[in-house]
Amino acid sequence: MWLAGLMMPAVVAHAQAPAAASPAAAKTPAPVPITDADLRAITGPATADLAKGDPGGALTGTVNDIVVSDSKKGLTLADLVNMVGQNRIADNFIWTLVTGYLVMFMQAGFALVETGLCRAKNANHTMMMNFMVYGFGLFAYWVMGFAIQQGGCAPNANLGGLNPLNSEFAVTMFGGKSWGLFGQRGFFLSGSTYDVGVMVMFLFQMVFMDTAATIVTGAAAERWKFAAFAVSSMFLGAITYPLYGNWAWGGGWLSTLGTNYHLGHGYCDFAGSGVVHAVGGVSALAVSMIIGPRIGKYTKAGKANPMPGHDITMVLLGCFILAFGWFGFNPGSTLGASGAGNLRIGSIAVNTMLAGCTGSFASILYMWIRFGKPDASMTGNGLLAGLVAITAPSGFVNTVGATIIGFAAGMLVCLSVEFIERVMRVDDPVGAISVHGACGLWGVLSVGLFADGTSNYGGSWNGVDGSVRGLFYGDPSQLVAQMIGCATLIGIVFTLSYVGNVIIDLIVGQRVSAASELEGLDLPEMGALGYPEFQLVSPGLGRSVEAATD
Amino acid sequence: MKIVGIVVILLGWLIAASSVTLSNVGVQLFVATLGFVVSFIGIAAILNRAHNANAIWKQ
Repeated sequence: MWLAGLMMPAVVAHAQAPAAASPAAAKTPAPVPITDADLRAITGPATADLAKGDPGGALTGTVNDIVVSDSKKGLTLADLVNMVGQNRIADNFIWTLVTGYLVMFMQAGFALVETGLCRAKNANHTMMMNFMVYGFGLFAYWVMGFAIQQGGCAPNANLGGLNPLNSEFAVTMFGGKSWGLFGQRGFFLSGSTYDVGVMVMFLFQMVFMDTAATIVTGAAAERWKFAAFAVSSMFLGAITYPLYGNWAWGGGWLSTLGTNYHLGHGYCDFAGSGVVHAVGGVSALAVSMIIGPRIGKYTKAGKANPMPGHDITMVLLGCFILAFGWFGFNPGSTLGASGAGNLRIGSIAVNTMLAGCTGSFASILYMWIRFGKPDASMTGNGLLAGLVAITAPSGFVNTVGATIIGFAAGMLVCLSVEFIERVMRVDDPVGAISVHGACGLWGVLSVGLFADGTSNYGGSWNGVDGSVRGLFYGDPSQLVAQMIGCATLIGIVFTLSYVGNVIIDLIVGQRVSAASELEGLDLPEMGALGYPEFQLVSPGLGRSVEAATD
Repeated sequence: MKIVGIVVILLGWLIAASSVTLSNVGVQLFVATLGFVVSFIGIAAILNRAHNANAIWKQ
């Protein structure tokens, strides 16, 4: 009580003291517009100072480097604002082009993997298929493939608009909705499509197409006529790949499943598990079925004989090159590094690394437990399986999702190889159908499961606001869209590839003669041995070899 | 049999694509998956079997 009594006067005193006069509210200064004159008053370093050299970089990159549109007027606000816009587009151009160069280098990886997994007597032929698929595919894509795929894809904010690519052929389908089928601008990259942004887009999309085309060469290796390979690759580059590419990436009907039917954000495939790898994988299945297995692959009872490749070191080096190139494949698919959520490129790259890593873990584990040894070729294929599977979801998932997707792919590829070889009795010397087909389909589906709703690429995807979200994060309709995409891959793309290659078989003939195949394709098809200084000895191939040569 | 296989494969796609006309997402998922499975059967069980009937290793 006495303490309260002592405090009371202080409290009262405090309450009775007149309030200190509050300072006059600070006036917020009125905004002062910046004028062109203000900009012209900013000066850069003098020429004499620059001539002394700039080891620290403090004098380089100043107002002197802003591009001025009219030297008589000098620097204006319009110049400054335009420079900002151009810098953003330049950043995105450089990003897209450099990542495209990395994807192009993957051709070397594929060449090494496939050649290493084939027998030495076919080394020249296998390597040449991977070398020339670049040229054949590029030519076909330039003539018409790019136009079919991307001819109606405008607008694209990252690459300056791509406004010349503004014509898409569409039909009316279920429920009176417009289904885009193919583009109609960009043939020979001529006319209005002779455009800086279009050129960047062409290069990037072309190297993806080439990845799909090269997949087929692995599955059909050791018995595919070089002439038939050339025609088939051009067919894939001109028609098969671009059609599915349009439906998924070019504004076509798969991408509009969201806006038309409220199925998530439509079919989502960030970097191409479906568009690239599954298209390549199902095309590889079609060609392998038409062409038939290698002589000696199966006994008369249908039992598979192993036919080991000739250089496992080449295979694993090739896998490393592919893994390196995949840093262009997935992160590059943002088509930019500036603006619109593109800073997620680091996340995409890490997802890619993790999935490849866990893919190889799963495969090595499976082979070690099942067969008692950590098989090198399947481990390499496990790495590739993880990379293939993460390609579609890479821009939409977190690292936990990425590791699960990769691990599942590593297991799936082992099971699929056995199924394709032993149950279906389809011969695939390199496992391309399983790595790219089966794991590509898994990648497509995994978007519908693991997309976590945190990505933000300009506030929408495929014209649907918000972020892509899969079943485990609350949107089961996304999985429906992905399943329709998978059904289209095996229903339409496989059929198109099959029919096209049957026609090629009728006109050109797909398979080499038995004599050429047994000798090795290097001399009969290419006119030169891959290893002319080595005497090659093939292991015994079973009774069907004698039957084939009778 | 190869033509039958192709027809079944295309039919599978049609089944899957028709799922867009349905309203319940669970039913849509079932129908889309069914279409995928039908196409897969067309490839693995019908078309591939037709090719293997005259396979080189049987000759």
